[in-house]
This record gives sequence, structure tokens and C-alpha cells, in this order.
Amino acid sequence: MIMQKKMKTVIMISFILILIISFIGKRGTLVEELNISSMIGYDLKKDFVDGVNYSVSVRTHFLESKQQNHSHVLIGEGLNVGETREDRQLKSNKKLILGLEKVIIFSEEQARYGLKAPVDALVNNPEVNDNGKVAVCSGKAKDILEYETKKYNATDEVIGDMIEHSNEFNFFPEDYTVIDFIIISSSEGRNVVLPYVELTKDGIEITGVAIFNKDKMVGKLDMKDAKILNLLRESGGKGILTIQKNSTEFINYHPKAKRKVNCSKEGDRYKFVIELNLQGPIVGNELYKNFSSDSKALKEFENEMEKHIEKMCMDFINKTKGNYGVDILELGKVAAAKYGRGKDIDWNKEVLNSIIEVKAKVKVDSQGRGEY
Amino acid sequence: MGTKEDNVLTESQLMCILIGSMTGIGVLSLPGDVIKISKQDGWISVFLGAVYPIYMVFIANYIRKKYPKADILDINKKIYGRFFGSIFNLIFLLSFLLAATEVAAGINNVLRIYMVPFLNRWNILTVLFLITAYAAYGGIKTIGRINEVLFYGTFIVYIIPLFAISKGNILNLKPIFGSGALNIIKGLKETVVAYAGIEVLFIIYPFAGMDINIKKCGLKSIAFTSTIYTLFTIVTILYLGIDATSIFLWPLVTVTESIMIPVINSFRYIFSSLWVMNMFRVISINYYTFSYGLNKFIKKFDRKAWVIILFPIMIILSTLYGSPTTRRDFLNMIFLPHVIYNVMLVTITAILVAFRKGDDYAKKDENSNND
Amino acid sequence: MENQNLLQTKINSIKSLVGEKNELIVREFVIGKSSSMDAALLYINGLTNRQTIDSDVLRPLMFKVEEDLAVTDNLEDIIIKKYISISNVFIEQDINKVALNIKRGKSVLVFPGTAKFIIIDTIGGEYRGIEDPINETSVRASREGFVEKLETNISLIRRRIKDNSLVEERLVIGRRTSTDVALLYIDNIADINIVNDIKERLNAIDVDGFSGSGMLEQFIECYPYSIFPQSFSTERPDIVQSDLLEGRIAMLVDGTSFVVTFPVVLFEFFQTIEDYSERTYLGSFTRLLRYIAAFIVITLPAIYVTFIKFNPELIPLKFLGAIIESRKGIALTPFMSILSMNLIIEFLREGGLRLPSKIGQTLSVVGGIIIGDAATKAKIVSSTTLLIVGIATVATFLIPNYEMSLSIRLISYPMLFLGNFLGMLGIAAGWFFVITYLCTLESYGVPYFKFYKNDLKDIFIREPVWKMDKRPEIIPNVNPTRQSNFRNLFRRKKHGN
Repeated sequence: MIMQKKMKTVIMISFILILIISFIGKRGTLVEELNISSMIGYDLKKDFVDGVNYSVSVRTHFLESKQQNHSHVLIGEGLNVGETREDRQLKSNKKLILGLEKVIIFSEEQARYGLKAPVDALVNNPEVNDNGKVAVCSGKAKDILEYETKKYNATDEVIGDMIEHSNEFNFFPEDYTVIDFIIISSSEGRNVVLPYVELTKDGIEITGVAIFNKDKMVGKLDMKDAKILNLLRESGGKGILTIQKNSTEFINYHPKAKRKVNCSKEGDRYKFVIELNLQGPIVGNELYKNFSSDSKALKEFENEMEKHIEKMCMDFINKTKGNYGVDILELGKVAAAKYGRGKDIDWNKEVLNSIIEVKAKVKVDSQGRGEY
Repeated sequence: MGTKEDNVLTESQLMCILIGSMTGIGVLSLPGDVIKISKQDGWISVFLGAVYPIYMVFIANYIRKKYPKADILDINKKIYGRFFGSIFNLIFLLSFLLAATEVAAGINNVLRIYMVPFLNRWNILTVLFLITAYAAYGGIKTIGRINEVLFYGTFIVYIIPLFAISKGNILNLKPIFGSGALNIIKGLKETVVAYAGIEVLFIIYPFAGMDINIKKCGLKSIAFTSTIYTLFTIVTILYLGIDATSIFLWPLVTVTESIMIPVINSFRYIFSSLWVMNMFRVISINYYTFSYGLNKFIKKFDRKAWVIILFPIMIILSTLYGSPTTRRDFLNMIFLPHVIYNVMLVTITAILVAFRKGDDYAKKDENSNND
Repeated sequence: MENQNLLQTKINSIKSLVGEKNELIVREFVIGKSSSMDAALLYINGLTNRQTIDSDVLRPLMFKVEEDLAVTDNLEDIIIKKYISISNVFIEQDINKVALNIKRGKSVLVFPGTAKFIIIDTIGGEYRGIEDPINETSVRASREGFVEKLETNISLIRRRIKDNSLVEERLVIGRRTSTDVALLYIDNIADINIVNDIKERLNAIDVDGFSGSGMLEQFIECYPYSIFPQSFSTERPDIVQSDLLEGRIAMLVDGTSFVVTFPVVLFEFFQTIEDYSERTYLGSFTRLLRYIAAFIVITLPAIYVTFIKFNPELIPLKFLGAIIESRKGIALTPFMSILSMNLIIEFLREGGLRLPSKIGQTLSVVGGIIIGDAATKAKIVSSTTLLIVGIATVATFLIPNYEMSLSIRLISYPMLFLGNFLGMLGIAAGWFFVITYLCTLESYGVPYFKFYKNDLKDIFIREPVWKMDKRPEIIPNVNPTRQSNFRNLFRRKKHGN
């Protein structure tokens, strides 16, 4: 009995000892000793003969500044993505953590060169905020970061918010997140489209979208085309569609768009029918008379709008079909779902070869308060 | 002090133990492995993989009808004689050691990446085995109760990934059966291994009360496990698509990040902490079974002493697994033959039980009771 | 003269049994007017009710006895039946039991001629009256609380349970104190094995004495080193009543107003009598609050330290900004701040227990507000840390049972260590360890922490009282049904007419 008791005490003591031994060691850093990043920008310099220079800038909360709410930008440069981290640490006095960044910006040069390396580093790092937004910017990402640093508070993050709320108009979808980028760029039959941000003399502005083939940027569309692209490509966006005869006669329609794609095969070619289902209110009518009293006018408007949209879309499709060499309308994935995946079919080629039709259905569900 | 009979498991405890034993660390990486082979029909392979545990449950039920109080280790010894029986038992028991250490190594990998990157693997493994040793020390009663409590307590961890269905894209699943029946069957190679935990039933069914229907209990737990596996696979395919799944080592954890709630930055953290508790459960079941089996093998040390002896052994074995890729290769090499060995062993035992040998043993039992 | 000597010997032997130095009063008198029968009345001063002795024993015996008793046999019988007008009188032959009874306040009539003694129940003495239980107040339940006198306590329970099968078993424990201990249980509900087990343990106790039911239950418990309380003690008779009805066994100790019930399960400590008088949803909500509070007490400081130290990326940016601002310039790490603030709160709590009430109030104000504020200004803690510690402290008070709340508070310290050194893994491991530990605990054979499906009606929520048809399964009992579903009758009436 005494032996058992002794064994029991020995076991208990060794239990606690082992536990305490595992406590030993300096770990973790307190939160006030960290640099917290709120924005990351990737730049590329092609000025070496056979190499490129990566430059990664990070905007962080700056605690030691004399002013409140100040942030500053840390830049690291290197021949590859990993070494930029080392270079950056030489210039900062604290450890950097990721996980709270709201937006990641790639400069156009970097995007055209290929995003595989930076995105690979992001995938590898488990701390990265997968729900952060992604965008492409013109010029240098560094400039945009420094602009934000100068103009805005440390806790305000403008581009990320801008992208987040862009889905109010222009039929932008809800998310342009890191994880979306990773998923879409690796999926069969899909190609990434990212918002394109520019630092104009009035401030930061979304001036279009960037089109990618896998991980390389191949083209840019300005906002007019981008709006139609969004209408055809995404589902659930909101925007303003107008029929305008001249500067005083126009009608604005603010629908929510839903798209459905039907895929069939005609001989060797694929045939895609994109059905757009638009539902929304009229926000301003200067074109039709007696809109609120005459239901026939409503019907007329609906028909006209449908025809207008279809024409607009077909023009756009024909214009951009051959330009970029990729399927920008997310049609490949529908065909893959129907006709089989993993068969090494180049969906870009097939879609560019296919027949695309657009059918629109317009419904006005409210007319606001009244008509002036 | 005991007014209740010792070592009696209730039905719900047995069910929770079986579910715990079957879902291992494999769930987090199972979608990735099976999608590599069967593409978008991976969920069908996962679902069909349940045929292995169902078979084992039927055999266990049959053997139990004949010998309700003797577990398979005793039966093996009786049927094959002391020498061969012990060898077969030892190889059978090795699967539990394997399960415990591989789950520990797997958790080690996942935790070092996602939750506690600042700890080295010795720390993690020590703490892990310390508390599971404490649980295994307490005996089958403790194991039964913990499993019940933790199963219902962390039930939400099975529901969290399902929230990502709303972000998924049904087109990712199509075309159904597109990858061909051959690939689906090939995928079974991976999924059957995922259910390999059901053998613990053969050792603990003597602890279950006589009124429990093992068949019903086992089938219920298999149904739950296979539903969860299938749903997880489907959600992964829906959300990530088959191409992006191969990017991540643990696709399921990425899926849990898709849930966005205003205050909680990362649902993945909640998921992984609850999941770690589940994994403690799994390791403690296997730890207990292995020490219990070793006790029958070398009678000199009783079960509790084995628990203490195994503690350093388990830690060292778990560190030998290396990085995730080496671990997966090793498992692929070892687990499938082991599963086949188990199936063969219990089948042959069941057949022998059905014939002469069984009657002899039953008669011996009766005689010893009469004396 | 011979009679006198006999009487004197008897008195001396009783005196020696009771103890020479005890204040044993020997009142010798002569019975009756006519006969000259000597008798002596022995009692201990201070334990008896002197008025009863004077008016109901001495007066009739000395003045009212007409007949000559010296010639009758069955002397005691006649005296008891004719002359002593007290309700509880009996004859005793064993002189040791006589001494026992004298020590309890009864008086003894000694006669020279016979070997029997008459024991008269004249127990008196001052006791505390029945009043509000101080530590367990309630809003809507009864205001009676147990007192120190064993008979009063038993009467309080008997008043509530008038069942025939309410069994009372008396034991005497303690070599020198000879404390009376009573075990109460309902015969056809409670499990007889547990009763026997407890009786065995009680009978095996061999001590000089003990003070209070707290010490007694520690003598017989199964896990003396456990953090969690191994028995449930209460001052309220209504709680004991419902416990007895569920099949538990109550132990009442003379001299303490705390009654202990066995066996005990974890969920009891989260139930109060208030729950059952409230509305269903309100009761369920309060119950859930308690469990959430217990979780918060254990985990919140540990999670806070983990987040600050190891995983800041999990805190939303706006919180993070505020935390960083408040932590600027703080000298101690969060771990040490929380530890020191917890220590100060333990000081306040422990100190406030024993102070007179007026000083206690001032002290808590001083402690809580001023020390907290001063600590922030002295840069020892940040305001967020203070908030966390404050929330954890307030949550401790939600747990109804004082011992349990202290146990839970004690668990939060190792959890804090684990969270600080091992991060989230430490917290998960700590929780797993606590749950495992609870699963290994047993109280007299009954598992401490086990869920039965039917019991869930009363654990996390409180189902309507008319739905609780079965007794909780976790306490072994032989009679599972306690009520039937009588509300169907109401439904029929409503539809009928």
C-alpha cells in the first residue's frame, strides 16, 4: 500500500514537472510590440538584365509617432519574394504580423509579369487574411500606400473599403478576396478579373478592371466596358442602365441582375445562351410620358430596355472576343460542368470559338415615390 | 465504494467512442486525397468507403453473440494457441499504436501551422500525451464518459464547415459520375483507410452492457461518420472546386475560413481549437486500447503501469513521422495492408468461431462455471 | 440510613460517569407527604429547563404523592404514570446510557431500592431561533433556515415530508464530544447500498471530536484531495426536502446549521431553489447564464492573454487599436497584471468575509474602485485588463454555491498559466484535463459528472415543473416516477365545455 502511495505521488509530481518544463522558453510577442499591417503592395522593377527586383511595401500602424493615429510604410526589396522580408526587417523596429490587412495591391507591372510567386508566398503563410481584398493598380503600389499614409488616419483603410462598397453600382460582385483569387485562378474554365485602381490627381479611383489569364494580367478594360463585363459575368450585382436619346431625354433604371447560362453543343462548337434577369426600380424618367399612369408605357420601356441591353452586350462581346485570348465571361466552367472536366480542354479557345447569345428580361418592380 | 457495476458502457457512450475512433486527423485532409483520384465524385468514394466498417460491425456482432464477455484478444489466443494468437494480437494492436501516434503527429503538423507556431514539436507532443495519458489512466469508464461529454459539447465543430455551402458553387460538383466508375473505385483505397478505427469495437464490446445492440449502435455511428465525411467532402468541392483543393494541405480548414461574422476574425481558429479537443479524445481512446491490449499480452505490468511506460515511447514515435508529406506517404504504405490484415484476421476468426473451435471454448466455459 | 447509602453510591457512580468536574446538581428529596421514600434528582445545570423540573417533577413528587409508595413494587411505573406530568419519560437500566442522557440535558430520578432509573426529558437551554438563512437568501421561497439544535432541524424536515417512509437513524460520533448525528432518507426511494456505505464510514470514525458538518463530511469522503466539493451543504430546509425526494440522504449534525446531502453531482451546484418558483423561460435563461458564467470565469482571462500574446491577428482591428492604446507604457506583461489583480481581488474577497458589515462595504468600495483606478494610473494594469478581470470576478458571483464558486475560481489560475505559456493548445488541454478529472470523480459510487437523457430537463434549462415526471437518474433510486402527467385533464376540460 505504501509502495502504491509513493508511486502515486511520484507520478503526480512528475506530471506537474513535465508540464512546467514545457513552459520554459520565451514565446510570443505582446501586441504593443508588433507592427500591424493594414495594406500590402507588390511592385516589380525590371531594370536588371536578366532579373527582376521585387519590392514589397507594407503600411503599418505607427505607435511611436508624435501624432496620434499615424501610420507609415515599410519597403523591402529583394531578388525574390522571401528576401524582401529580410530587407524589410532591417528597416523596422518591431516584428511584423499579417492577418489584419484589408487589401493587397499588385502593380500592373507585377501583374503582367505574373502573380504566381507573390500568391504562392501568401498561400504558404497561414496568417494571411484570406478575406482581404485584392486589386491591381497602375504605376507603383508604393505610391498608393504612401498616399494613403499621408492623407488618412492609421485606422482608416480606404482602398479596401472602396472595393468592399463598390458593389453598390456598376454591377460589381461582392467579393474580390484573396481566397477568391486563388480559387478562380486555379479552377478549370475560369479566369480572374480584378478591380483596377488608379491614383489620379483627385485621389484614388477605380478606373476599370484587369483581366487575367491564370496568374498573368493580359488586359485592362475601362469602366464602360467593365460595367457590361460585370453584367454578363457576375450574378447579383446592382447598377444603372440607361436609355438616352439626347442630353435631356433619358431614363435610368437601377436593377439587380441575375444571370444564368445554358450551354449546348452545335456540331463542333459550343453554344452559350446567357440569360439576364433584371429586376429593379426606375430612378429617374425623362423620356417617357405618363409613365406612372400608363402601363403600356411601362411595357414599352421594358421591351426597349431589353433590346438595348442585348445590343449593348452583343456589341461588347464581338468587340472583345479576340482581344485578350481568354474567356472573360466565365462560360468555360458551365461547359466543363456539363461536358466533363479534367480532359485537358483549353476552354479559352473553345469559348472564343463558340456562339454566344444574350437574352435579357427586364422587370420594373417599383417606381419610387412619384414622378416630377 | 462502487454501487454501480464497474466498466459498463452505455449505448450512447459506445456510439461516441466509435465515432471518435473513426474520425481522426484524416478528416482535415481526406477531401484533398480523395479528390486527387476521383475528382468531383470524391464524395461518392467517401460514402462507399463505409462498406469496410459495416462489414466489421457485422462480424463483431456475430463474434459477440458467441462470446459476449471475451474480447478478440482472448479469442485469438484460444483459437490459434498462445504463440500464434499472441503474434496476431500484437499486429492487431499495432494499429492502435499507429493510430495514436499518427493522429498526434498530424495534430502536431496542423497546430504548428495554424494555431501555435511558436511551440516546438516536443512541447506540443509532451502536453498532448500527458493529458491523454491521464485520460487513459482512468480506465474505460472515464474514456466512455469523456467521449460522451466531448462529443455533444463540441458538436458544433461538425456543423461549422457546412456553413460554407452558401458560398459554394453547385457547378463544381458536376458532372456527377463524370470521372468514371473506375476512378471512384480507385478512390476507395483512400477512403477506406479513413474509417480505420472501427477495430476498437472488437476490444471494447465486452465492456458494453448486455442489453445493448451492438449492430444498431455500430451502424448508427457509421452512419454519422460517413455522413460527416461525405458532407465535408461535398462542401470542399463546392467551395474550393477540385483544382484549388490540391493547393492546400488541409482543405477543410480553408473552407472554415469562408465564414465571415463581423466580430470574429477567423472562424478557423474556433474550429481548430474545438477540433483539437476532438483529437485528444481520439488519441486517448487509442492509447487506452493499446495499453489494455499490452496488459493482456505481457501480464506482468497492469494497464496503468503500461500507460506510464508508453508515455515516452509514444512521444518519440510521433516525432519520427516528419513533415506532412512524409507522414502521408508512410501512412499510405502502411495503413492499407493493415486494413486488409484486419479484415482477414477477423473474418478467419469468425469462421473458426462458427465451427468446432467455438464449441470447445463454450464447453470449457460451461465446465469452469459448473465447477 | 441504608437507603441513604445505597442512594449515595448510585449518585457517586453516576457522577463519576458524567465526570467529576461537571456541574452535576444532585437534588435529594423525599417523595410524598406520608412516606419517607428517598429519591434524588440529578441534572446538569444549564442544559435543563429548570421550570419544568420545578413544576412538573419536584412539585408533584414532593407534594402530591398521597399513597405510600414504599410498599409498592413497580415503583417507577407508578411514579411515571401517576405523578410526573412531563411528556417524554422512560425507564432506563443501563447506567452508561444514563450518563449519556444527563449530558444531553435530561434529568435522572434515582431510587435507592431499585436498579432502574427514570429519565425525564427536561432539555432546555438557550438556542438560536429559526431565522433567515444568511448565506442563501431567496426572493420567493421560504425564509426558514436550519438552527443548531438537532431536534428542531429534524422537526423542520418532518414538517415538510409527512411520509411514513421518512427514516431517521441516529448515531453518536466523537469520543469526547459525543455529537449526535442523524441520517435522514426516504426508505422506498433512496438506494440502500449508499445508505449502508455512509453508515459504515460514519461508524468507522474514531476521533476526539469535530466541529461542524464540514469536518464530518471530510472524514468520510472518497476523494479528499479533490478541488471540487464532495458534498452539498445547505441551510435551507426546502432544498433538503427536494433532495430527499430525489433519493438523496441528508446528514444532520447537532451543533451546526448546515445540513449535508449525499451523493452529490456537479449539476446540483448550479441549481437554486429560486429556479423552481420562476417562470419556465426565465428559469432556463438564468440557468444558462450560470453555465456561461462558469465558462467565462475559467477561460476569459486565459483567452485574453493568449490573444494578446500569440494571436493578435484574431482581434478585430478596432479592438486592437483600443487595446494597443491602453497598453502603451504598461510596465507589467498582461499575464502578470492579471495575476496581480486576481490576487488583490482574492484579498478583498477573503478580507470582506469577516469584517463587520459597515467596514466591509467601505472596503469593497475602496478596493474595487479606488485600487482599480489607481492601478491603471500607476501603469500596472491597462484598462482592458482590468475590464477582463472585473468581468471574471462578477461572473464568479453567479454560481450559487459558495464552495463551488471558489473551486471554479481556483481552476482559472492554472488555466491562465497554460494560456500564457502554451497558447490555445494549453487552454484546450486544460479544458480536456478538467473534464477528464470531473469524469473520474465519483461520489459514493455515483458518477460526479454524467449526463442522462432524462436528466437534461433540469440541467441546462429548466423545463416546466409539471413535465419532470421522473426523478433524476443519476441518483440511484428504486422508485423512478415522481409525478404523473396530470395536465391532460385540463386540456380535456377546455375542449369539452
